[in-house]
Amino acid sequence: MRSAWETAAATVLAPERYEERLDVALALASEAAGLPDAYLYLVDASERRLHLAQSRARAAADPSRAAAGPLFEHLDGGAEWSAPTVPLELVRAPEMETERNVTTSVGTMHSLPLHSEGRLVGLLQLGPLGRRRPRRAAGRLGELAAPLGFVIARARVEENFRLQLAAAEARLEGGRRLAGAAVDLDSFVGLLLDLALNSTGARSGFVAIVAQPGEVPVVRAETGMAPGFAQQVDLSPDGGLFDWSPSTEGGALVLADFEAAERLSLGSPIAVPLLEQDEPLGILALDFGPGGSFDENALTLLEAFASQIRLMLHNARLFATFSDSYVETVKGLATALDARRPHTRDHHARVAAVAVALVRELDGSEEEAWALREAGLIHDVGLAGAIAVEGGSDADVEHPTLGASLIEHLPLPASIAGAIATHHEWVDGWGFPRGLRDEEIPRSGRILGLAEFVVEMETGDPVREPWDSERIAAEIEQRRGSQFDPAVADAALRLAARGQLEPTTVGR
Amino acid sequence: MDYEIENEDGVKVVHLNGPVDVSQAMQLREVLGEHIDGPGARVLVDLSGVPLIDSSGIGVMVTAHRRAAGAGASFALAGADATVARVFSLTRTDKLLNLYPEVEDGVEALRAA
Repeated sequence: MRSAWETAAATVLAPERYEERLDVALALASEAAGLPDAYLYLVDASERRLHLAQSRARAAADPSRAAAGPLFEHLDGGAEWSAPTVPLELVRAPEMETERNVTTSVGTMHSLPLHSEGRLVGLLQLGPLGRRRPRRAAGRLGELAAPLGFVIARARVEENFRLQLAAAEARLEGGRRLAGAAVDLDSFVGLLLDLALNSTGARSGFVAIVAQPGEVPVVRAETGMAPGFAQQVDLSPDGGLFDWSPSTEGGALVLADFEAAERLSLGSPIAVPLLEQDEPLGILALDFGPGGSFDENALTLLEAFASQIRLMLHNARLFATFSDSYVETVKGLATALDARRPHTRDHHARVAAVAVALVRELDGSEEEAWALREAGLIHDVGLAGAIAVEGGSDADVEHPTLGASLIEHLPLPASIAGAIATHHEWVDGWGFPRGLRDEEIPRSGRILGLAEFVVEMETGDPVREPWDSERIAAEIEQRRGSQFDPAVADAALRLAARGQLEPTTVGR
Repeated sequence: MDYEIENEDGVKVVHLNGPVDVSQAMQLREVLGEHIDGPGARVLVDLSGVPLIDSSGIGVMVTAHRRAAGAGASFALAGADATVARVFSLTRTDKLLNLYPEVEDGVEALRAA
């Protein structure tokens, strides 16, 4: 015959879903006690309250409560759910720690505390108790208390883990929309690493990622590693900390530099290769401390995290490829728009060139210069949609917003969509479409706005002759602080003074 | 970790005892290097007394495997329990190394090599 422990573990943990597991636990307790109604309260994170997590009740008392099942099914039938009902929440009290009879709104119930590793995890309330409680059942129920406490605690840990993982995935999705791919990849990897550490009991760990095929993996997330680990560790495939065997030999990853391992205070690391069809994507390494303290369970979890990170890297790469070709399409559309009229020919390319020159003059980074170039090559693409919209001039006013909306969902630096959306805003709040002021306009938008002004003025159009560089410089000077950010205007004036804003030198 | 070496029909069987982690990896490398000493050498590592092995332990085994291949010697492992076998498969070294379930199987295979 199976012991109560085996029965509890085998039956309660058999279903996949958490709610079903709790329901099976209740059924088991209800059957053992010979009592039809059963309520399970679980201690919440504050440890001060218990919440009703699952319930089973007799058909006789209330038809809407006939079916044993998850709590929400009962609540769904709320309108028909007549009193009496049990409280949804209990305040934790010392007397809950002992088995006893309690009077509740649904009658006298038998209250059984559930413990796991010496801590109260929950409370089972079984009833209703008539004049006498079946004695044999009490014995069988008592036997179940410890195993039920254990399996319910485990079901909860697994459910929390599943929820955290789901939250992490949702965060990745959300993050992709908000920031650049590099930013959310790192935060997501960091999140997974922390989850992996918590669930496996590892002492520390890191994730290194190969940015481009053939490159050396770079540490992108670390927790608990020795100070300076990311900077000091050499992860190059030849002669580095790990030896990465070629894919013909299975793409195995082993520790090769033992001196370095000791120097970096590694205790007992398990490093798992993250491969995509034998091509290295990165390394997930967990350190279990000297002598190691991992078991098969920890290794199973480690493998689960490795495949999660692998999948994420794969998706990130796929998305980056998709994103690149999409951006090229949008740039192509912008170029096609330029070609429709003589005075706008090369407009996007020239604005991009002026914007890059301004970033350099402002001592901006190469990343910023790249972002402004991309924004410059796309910034007026929203005009493509403007023509088709009723009330043409209003639609033109919205072209920055429309243009930004075409690319803002891509994993690109936020400054690109920001620049496109705000390149017609003025620092004094008189621009369009939103009338933003000063710092409300991202620097990329302030730079792009001035770059477009320069290109438009020196080009001219059917109703206005092109301006020469002296006139443009004078206009910038005059609009400094109203239309233009003073710092950006000064940079443009310095370029103009050096003859570097001439139409022949910039963007041609 | 400590070890004992036995000679079984011309096969040197290195019985390891205890976990193999970074602090023991160097010592283990020296021990194995000493016995994989040239063409014809046959070395089998008995892992049945090893409850845990990490990437450094696996690293030593792979180094020994390559060294043996370069020297014309034979090298194999046997007796890994479930946890240790799992580490071999996680690091994908199970495809690289000669692993046998039992020491007897390993000895037999190396004798025939």
